[in-house]
Parts: sequence; structure tokens; C-alpha cells
Amino acid sequence: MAEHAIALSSRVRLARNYGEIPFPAGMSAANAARVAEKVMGSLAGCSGLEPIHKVNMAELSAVARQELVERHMISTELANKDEGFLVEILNGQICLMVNEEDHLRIQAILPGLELGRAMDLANKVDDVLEEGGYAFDGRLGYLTACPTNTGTGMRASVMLHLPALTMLSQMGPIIRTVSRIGLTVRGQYGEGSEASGNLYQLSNQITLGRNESEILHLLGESAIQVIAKEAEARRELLNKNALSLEDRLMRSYGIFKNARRMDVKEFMQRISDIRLAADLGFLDLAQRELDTLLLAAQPAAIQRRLGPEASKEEIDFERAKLIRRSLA
Amino acid sequence: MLCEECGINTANVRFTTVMGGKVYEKRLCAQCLAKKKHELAEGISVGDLLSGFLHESAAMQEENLVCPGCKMSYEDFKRGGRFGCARCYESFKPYLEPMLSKIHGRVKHAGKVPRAHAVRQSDEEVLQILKSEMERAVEVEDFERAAKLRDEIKEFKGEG
Repeated sequence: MAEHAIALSSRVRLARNYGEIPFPAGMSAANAARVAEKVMGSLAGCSGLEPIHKVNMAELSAVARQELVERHMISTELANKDEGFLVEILNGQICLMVNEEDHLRIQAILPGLELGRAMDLANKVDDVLEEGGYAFDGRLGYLTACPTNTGTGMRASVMLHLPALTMLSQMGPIIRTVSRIGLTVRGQYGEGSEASGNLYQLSNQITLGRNESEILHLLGESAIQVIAKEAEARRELLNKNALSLEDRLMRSYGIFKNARRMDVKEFMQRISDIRLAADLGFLDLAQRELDTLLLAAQPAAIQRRLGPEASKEEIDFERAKLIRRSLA
Repeated sequence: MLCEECGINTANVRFTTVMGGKVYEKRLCAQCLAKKKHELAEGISVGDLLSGFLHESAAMQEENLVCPGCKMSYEDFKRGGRFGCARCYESFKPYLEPMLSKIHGRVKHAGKVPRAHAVRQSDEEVLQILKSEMERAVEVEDFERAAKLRDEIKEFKGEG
């Protein structure tokens, strides 16, 4: 079982603030503009990090914002902030959120298990932006709006597809084990989100008292162990009754190919089945196609194509159509 | 008694939560109770978790500090769980370390340092070395060298 089939993506996020400006929660419009000016000024002066795309939240509809959340490019918190904006850098590998909970949230997102490389990318942008004068304390490190980020300001995570562990009810013990070593498991949209489609985010909880490499090492090693456990659980399922597993997963494929209407909850469960079927060789489907479909079939993505007046029913019809087209 | 959550309405219910084996009790008004219930249904909020930590660390003294930088009071911080500006860290210092230690287990940063800060630190180190050399010169009554070092320190501080 290839690691990349289970680890869908890796992300490193650095929370940073400028020293002289109040944190975004109590910030005036003038100060929000000062932050924007500093960020764009630093980026403009640095070759190789030219922003390819700047998107102001105030200029986007609620649906367009939600679509960015579905694509993991921004957080729900940024989507709710009119003075916030997103800057895409380095071919979209960096999504920089400005004026979210902190002035800066530098996020590097890469496919597969690539924590080290994601860290390097985030550092590259961080090294340029720090000329703006960060809020930093020799003893406490980077000062952030929430004390759960104080220190490195770094939250690193790996998105894992864990259907077999979920089927065998082994996620509970895993969540308890990782929490003992300063890690946490959440749903695919991070804090407070439910794990749908058997997608889980494994991330560090602690940001103070350990350095970035230690944290990344611990997270990376734990991810490798969870991946190994998932692979083991898949073997166990196959050994128990391969035919019945294949039958169950391929039924989802049948429904995907024929359904005329599908809500997002069912979609998430079925696409997980199909991803597993492809991983186990029951189906010849490229992972990339499934990744594309996973994003394209989310509610806001469809709503934005159909227009704001589309009903939930119309969205569910359109989703089924989209699925059939992508499998044709 | 006023509601311990909003501090505005009269408290008329008792709200008990159990966290980490400890029982926390608050007196709330009807509106805040409804909000709490909603939060519980949605899962526990960061603010709640933090105020769980804060309750313990703040038990030592209840002095309502106010940050001169952003006018946030320690009470405001306890309610929202977010600092208003970088100076809050200094303003709420007495409560800070116990809280950070509860969250992270440690209180001393061990990671990346911005270049500007790294330079300042080494400046301080240089200054420290010059000062201790000067003191040693005085001890051995080498006043000429001590005077020279004193001038160097002055010059160094002037540049910094």
C-alpha cells in the first residue's frame, strides 16, 4: 500500500502578528489596511514570491467564500471576516490568510506526506514577511491572539484517509494514544469539524517548548505509524472476507455510476469506498481524478456553478450528474 | 448575583461542567445558559476550554488587569480566550505562565527566532561580555583598560 494513497495532503501553518498593530479581533479598518500594506509591500519586493492571486473577502459572495473553505484554502474564520484576504503564492502551494485570527496565517499545502517540504515553503515566505517586525518575545516566542498557538505559532497536519480503521472501530484508541503525545485528530475541516468520508486531520496540539523540527518529526513519525495501522487494518479486512469487502465497495461504485441524485453526506461515504476500492486494486481509477471530484462535488462548489437560487434538491441532482460525467 | 458569563443579567441557574475530572460551577442567566447548551451540542469551544484552565490559574488572586495597549481587561480575555494585542502578554503576565504551562506543558520557546531578534540577542550578549571585562579590569585595578572598555560600551549602546 503506497503511503500517498492514505496520506492525501500535508499542511504547515505559521501564525504571525506584527508587533505594533492590535490583533485582528479588535482592529480598526485603518490598522487592517496597515497590515495589508506591510504584507503586499514585503511580497512585492521579493522575486520568486510574487502573489499570483489576491482575493478580498469583502468582494466575494458567501458561496464563493465557502468554496474556498471546501478547497482548504481558507478557514471558516477568514470566510467570516470582511477585512480579511487571501494571497496565493508559489503556484498556489502557499495560501496566505491575512487578518484572520492573527495578522498572518502562512499556510503551505502539498499533496501526500510532505511535511518537511511544506515547512520549507512556509519558512521561505515567513523569512520575507518578518521584515515587517513580528510580535516576538525571547522567552515565549511568536505572540499569537490565542495562547494555544503561542511559541512556534506552527500547526502542522496530515490529512489521512482511514476507512479500514474506522470500519474496525479502531479510531477511538488511536485518538486517545496520539493525544498523550501532544497530537490531536480532527475532521477534515479542522477544529470543530466532524470526520466525514473517513478523512481525518492529524496535527500537533503543542506549540510551546518544542522546536519546529521536533514537532514535525513527531507528527511525521506518528502519521507513518497510523498509515501502517490503516494498511494492516486493510489486510485484516481482506483476509477476513475479500469478496464481501469487494462487493460492498463496488456497490458504491455502481451507485456512483447510476444515481440521479446524491446528497453530500452520502457522496462523502461513497467516494471513500471508491477510493479504498481503487487502493485495493478492485478498480482502475487514478487518485487524482477522485481528488478533483472530491472538491468539485462539495455543496458550495456546485452552488456557485448553478447560481444562488439553486435549491438543495437541484444541487443533489447536479452532484449525481457530475459524478457520472467524471466516471464516464 | 450577576451572571458569571455576561456580567449583565441576574444569575438564576447553576451550570455545572466536568472537565478533566474536575467540577466547575457557574451561576448563569437564562440567555447564557441557552448559549452554553448550544455550545455543548456543537462540541466544546476553545473559550470554554481556556476558561477551564484560567479558573485554576486565576484562583490565586482576582485582580482585574487591563492592557494599556488595547484596553482589554483580563476578564475580557477570560471570556473570549483571545488576546487583543502583543502587549497583553506583558499586561497579563501574572496569569500567563500557569495557563501556558497547562496548555503546552512547557513555557519556554524552543523554536525559530526572527532575524531581527536574533541580532538583538547577540548584541545583548556582546554588551554583557564587555561589561564583565570592564568589571574584571576594575578588579585588577587596570583603570586605563577599564576606561577604554567603558567608552566602548558607550559607543556600542549609542550605535544600538
